[in-house]
Amino acid sequence: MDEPRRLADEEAEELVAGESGGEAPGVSGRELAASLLIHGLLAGRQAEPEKALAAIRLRLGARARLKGRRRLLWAGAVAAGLILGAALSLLLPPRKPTIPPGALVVSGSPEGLEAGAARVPLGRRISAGKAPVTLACSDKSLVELAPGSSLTLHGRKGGDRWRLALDAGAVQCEVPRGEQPFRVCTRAGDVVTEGTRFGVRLAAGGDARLGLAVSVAEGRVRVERPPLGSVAVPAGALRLFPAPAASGEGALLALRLLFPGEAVQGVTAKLDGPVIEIEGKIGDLEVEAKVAPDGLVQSHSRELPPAGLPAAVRAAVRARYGPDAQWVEAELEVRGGSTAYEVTLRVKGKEVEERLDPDGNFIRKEDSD
Amino acid sequence: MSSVLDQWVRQQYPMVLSFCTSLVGRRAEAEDLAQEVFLVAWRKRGELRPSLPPGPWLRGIARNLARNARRRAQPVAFVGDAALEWLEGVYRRIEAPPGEQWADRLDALEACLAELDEADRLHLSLRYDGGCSYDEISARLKTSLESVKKRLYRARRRLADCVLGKLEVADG
Repeated sequence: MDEPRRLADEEAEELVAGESGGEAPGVSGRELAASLLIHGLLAGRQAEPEKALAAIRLRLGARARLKGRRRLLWAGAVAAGLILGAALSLLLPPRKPTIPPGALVVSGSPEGLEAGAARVPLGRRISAGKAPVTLACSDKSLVELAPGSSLTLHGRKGGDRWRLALDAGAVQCEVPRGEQPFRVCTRAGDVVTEGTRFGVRLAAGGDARLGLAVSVAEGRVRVERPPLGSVAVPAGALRLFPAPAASGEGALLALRLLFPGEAVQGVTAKLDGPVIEIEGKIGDLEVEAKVAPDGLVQSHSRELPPAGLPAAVRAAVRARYGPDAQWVEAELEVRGGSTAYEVTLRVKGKEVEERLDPDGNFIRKEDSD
Repeated sequence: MSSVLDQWVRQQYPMVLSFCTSLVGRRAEAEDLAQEVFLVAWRKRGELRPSLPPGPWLRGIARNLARNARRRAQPVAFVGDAALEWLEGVYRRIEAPPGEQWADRLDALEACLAELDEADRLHLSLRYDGGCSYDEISARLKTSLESVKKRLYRARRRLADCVLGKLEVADG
């Protein structure tokens, strides 16, 4: 392994020589690489993706503004050319749609999208294997098909600007605002929007005609289930169709929609005031959902083994309570679109409950004897 | 689409920051480089094939940016090409088990941290979790600066040996 060639950075200098305390005057490239590996892994544990995302967006916006100013200068030059009688405006490059990496571009689009990505024709049934598949539609909508899911593309149809049929599994859609509706057809109902970010999940297997879950990140969608009519789902909501009853198959279907791919057993449901409380088990671990009678999910949670907690959460708890704290319980809860981990520990004979976000930040603390 | 960029950053940023810190040493410069990686990745997003995981592609961008900085003689620390390849191999081993979040893949590191003695863990925790300088650690623990440096150097060496052993990576 070759030697480092330039080390102008104090931290790296310390890694190579300073911290050796003079014991290792000729640190090899391998030793340096191994030290830098550990240095990086330890530093990366403190990464703050949300802050980074904000900074990246700012830098992206600044570059777009710069590009815009350059475009303005370019347009001025073209205008000058036009005054001279040349139709140079025709030579202006067309605005390229924003297509994510690896997206399949759906052909048959009236705008004729240009991209280096693979194209798929309309009417084709597309199945995702172990990895999700992203589709870029002609109206610049993006559809991400979840692993193990399948859909059929129909494109413009009826009064819809875009229509697709979800045959199995789940999709996440980002639809730019427009006058004509974007429609996801399923055997359990159609999900329709004029522009928003939303997700649709079908119940698995033979239950696909029976139920679906719709989550909305922004804006609003409506779910059309003739002859039952149309129901709106607002931003931040997760809603089940049909709404589960306080007993029977509906409660099982609700847990299957909320915990897809899991073998849910021992399901019970009861009315607790205006809320239906549904409980069940996945293996030995308990799951629970609280659903309003109209199908809006208030929260759902699942018990976790401590090893199932994210490393950031485990590390944060260890850092606060030390290695001698004993794990009692751990739980993942989703409420109002936010995910939190609740842990119960035994510390010096006392039980302590903590609530943390997925990055390991403490949300609140409750002590109990 | 912003949600795709959001998803990339949320899932991949901790890994990219780790790798960039390995390349350039200091945290502030590593954060700058990591952000630049995502800006370049976003510009070149059409080049990523859907069947391939994004990790190696993002690290490739980081390596190229670091090499370009080296050509422009910018003040970044880095290792040579062979060491870069070795680092890439280690990261691929770390990424091999299933899991969406980078933190979920660091079991080997967590296990090895647990095996260190308390003083080593304390020094590393102050340095990396607390962001303390060598001088601050020295003052807080009432020990000499040289002792702090030596302890951190040895702790990282022990961690490296342990992590590479658990990952079954040849040590180059």
